[in-house]
Amino acid sequence: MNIPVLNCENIYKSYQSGRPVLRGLNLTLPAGRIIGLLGPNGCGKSTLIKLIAGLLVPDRGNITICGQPRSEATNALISYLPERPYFQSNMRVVQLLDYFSDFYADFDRSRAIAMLNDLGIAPDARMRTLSKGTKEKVQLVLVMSRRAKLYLLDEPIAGVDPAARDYILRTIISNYSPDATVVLTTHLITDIEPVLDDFVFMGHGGQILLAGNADEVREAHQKSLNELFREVFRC
Amino acid sequence: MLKKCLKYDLLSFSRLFLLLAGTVLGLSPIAGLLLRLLITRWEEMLFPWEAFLVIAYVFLIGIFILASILMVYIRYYTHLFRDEGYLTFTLPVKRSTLLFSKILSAMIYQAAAIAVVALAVCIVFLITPYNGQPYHTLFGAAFTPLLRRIGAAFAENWFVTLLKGAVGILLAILIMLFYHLFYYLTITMGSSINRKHPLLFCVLLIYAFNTVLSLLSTPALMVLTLWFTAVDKLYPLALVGAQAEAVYLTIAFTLAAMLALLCAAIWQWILHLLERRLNLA
Repeated sequence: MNIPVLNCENIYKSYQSGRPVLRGLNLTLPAGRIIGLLGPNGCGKSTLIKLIAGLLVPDRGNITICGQPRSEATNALISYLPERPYFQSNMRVVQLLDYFSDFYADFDRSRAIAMLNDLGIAPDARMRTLSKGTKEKVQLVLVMSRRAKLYLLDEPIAGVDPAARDYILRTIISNYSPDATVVLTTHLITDIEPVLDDFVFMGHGGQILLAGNADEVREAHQKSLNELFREVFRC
Repeated sequence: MLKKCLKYDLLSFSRLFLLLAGTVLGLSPIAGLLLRLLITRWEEMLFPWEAFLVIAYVFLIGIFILASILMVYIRYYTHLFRDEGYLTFTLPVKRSTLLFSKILSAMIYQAAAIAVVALAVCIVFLITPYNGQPYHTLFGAAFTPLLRRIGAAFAENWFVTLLKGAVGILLAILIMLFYHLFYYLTITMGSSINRKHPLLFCVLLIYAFNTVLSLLSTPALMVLTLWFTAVDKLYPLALVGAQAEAVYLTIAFTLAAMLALLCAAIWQWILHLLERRLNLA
């Protein structure tokens, strides 16, 4: 029996302002797919990612990762890349490698070093001396060097130049485990469309408006995902 | 995982701590010499610049103590409730382990700061003369009578002296633990309640707590004083020797137990907030 890598059941989440962000969201993701979680600003994509990663607690509902209830133990199965830098600025790159090696048993240090060499990032460089784009690349290298079951990448290509975007997308495809699932959120649909296996169009309140295999939907509608997105979420 | 968390918590500002500690210890012989000059040549001086330098050294010690406490709280806040929290709370580490590591590192740094200050003061006292005699130092004058009293107490009853020492250390540790947990709780509550101004909320909570404590402690002390006076009038106690020791130890252990329960309650409250009210949006 194939256990889904992620199962979200009846998820409700409101912030302190009382504004409900997710209302009864249900989502199941299989293993071994690259899935684009796409939607307009404020629809709850990042909120959902943070709920799965454990940074937020749902008001109601259950989240299971590979059949296990979401907990600190399931953090070992998830590799999360937030939309902002999350390292101490005075740490050196080599110290970050040590940090990940210490806490994650599935961290492949040699792979991370190889990727950093490809990018020309010195291991003794301090994070605060690196540019924004380089910091994001370092974070991506560390996240993709883990052999996780679920990769959560929140806006991985926002704020970087087109050449860097191509590198990031190539890194995602070439470095994730084939039995793992990668969930990407982004507004740059044209850039990620070529790498997606599946997609989910999420509306406000966490409504799933359209979901499925990217190739099949493109063929059925005779449109790219980008065009379909504009149609579904027309203002 | 606790060892790994502790390693990174201790390393996070070890450089700054060692720099400040090194400065305090390195300047202590100079402070001692300045104090020696001040005492032996007081009448000849036109302008006691040595006094200002010694006062500056005392301020440096104060800054070191304050910095070693603030560093711990700043680290707690930035590591859990700022951008670094995105990494911290996605590690495969229980919240209780994270919290325990923070508490342990705070206690270690505080103990280290106390040890550094004590060593610096001992160095200053070893150089400073006492009673105008160049070879009779302040260190000897301060610590020799104290050591004699401790020796006499051990000779009289080593078990009770040891017990009193142990309960004193236990109370000191529990008081330190209580204050760390309390400030961690205010930071956690401030960050959970108000994401825009968490530190302002934290300061307001500290002020509110201190106000409530002052309002409750004054009548509580009055009631206790009246009670002891009444009991003493009805049943005059002339506690001497073993009876006095037993009463002091009972009160001390009761205080320690109450502090331990309070610390446990605050610990649970912080854990509840970290597990159910975390809001890193």
